[in-house]
Amino acid sequence: MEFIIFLWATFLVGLFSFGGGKSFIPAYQELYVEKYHIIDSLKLTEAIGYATALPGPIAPMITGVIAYQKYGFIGFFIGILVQVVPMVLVFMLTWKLFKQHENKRSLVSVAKYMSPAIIALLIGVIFDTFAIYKDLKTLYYSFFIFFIATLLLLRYKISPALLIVCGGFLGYYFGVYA
Amino acid sequence: MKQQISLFNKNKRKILWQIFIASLKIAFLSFGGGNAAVGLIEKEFSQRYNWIDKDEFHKVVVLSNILPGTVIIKICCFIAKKVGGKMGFLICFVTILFPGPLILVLSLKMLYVYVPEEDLIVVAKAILPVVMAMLAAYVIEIFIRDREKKYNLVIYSIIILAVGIAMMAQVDIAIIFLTLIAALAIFRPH
Repeated sequence: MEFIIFLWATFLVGLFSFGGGKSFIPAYQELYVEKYHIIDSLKLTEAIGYATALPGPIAPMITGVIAYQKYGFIGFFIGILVQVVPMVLVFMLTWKLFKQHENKRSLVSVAKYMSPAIIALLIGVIFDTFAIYKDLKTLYYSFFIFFIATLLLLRYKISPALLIVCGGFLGYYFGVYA
Repeated sequence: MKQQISLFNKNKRKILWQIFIASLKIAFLSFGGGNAAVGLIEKEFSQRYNWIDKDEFHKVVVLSNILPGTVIIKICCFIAKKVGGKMGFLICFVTILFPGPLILVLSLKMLYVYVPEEDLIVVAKAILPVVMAMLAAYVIEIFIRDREKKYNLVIYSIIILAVGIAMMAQVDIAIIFLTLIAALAIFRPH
């Protein structure tokens, strides 16, 4: 029974958080900690810390860690699938519907003017990310790297993997993040 | 009719292999999660392999932000399904979804004992400016392309400002988007 409640909470987290990435955290707080009492707040904070520090989608990582700690590997796989499969299906179905009705008049302007909203959202993501640099020296250095990398990316075609490795290495070499 | 992909066709096998490699790269490079990885995905899937053109990619980004769930998985799986059929979808789904959680779970004990959380965050902090640069490049490219289409500039800037202010006031993203969609559907700006 406990397991089914856990799956239900996971399913709800997947379907009630918009925007991806860190926007899942309030949903976890509300459903896992406050409503269904699956884990305590401290454990969740720990899981979030590790998940945001590692690459890849954040929500499956948080779910995976919590499911593994409580129910082992079977819980891990079932939990992640229960969370992710519904939203991918919803996305595919909505895309099909969108393609069918793309040329209707009411949809045209919606599709067209969602672009600035997404731009605002993405700029917000950039600002949020730079807010983690509390130290002024680190902030200046990060902004310098950010600026150079943006110019390079706009001007030349660079492999993202190479750029990421170089950025990480430079940050370590100059020791600004330690 | 959709074409089924057989594993024995050499061309199709090559595409599936490319999907696997690209997905693996996303899985191990997308620091920051969610919308932070949009620029990286665009670089890999759209610029390097040309699986999707920029306009359609932007539409996919828009739709995946309106709908609930993880942005990375939805975008990548959609593109993989488009070029690789069901098999491509499956490969992309598994390779993007499972590496991160598996590494985290398998190394959990080691991480807790040997690596303090602060050290891991140092790695993420060193890499995040570059990931953000990719996102910024993507945003600037959209800006430039949008300027060529016939947008009403007043409405365009009002929407950017309104969404920005609403986000600073920490209004839920779902509410912002629903209001915006309703307003656009009613007033139909051209």
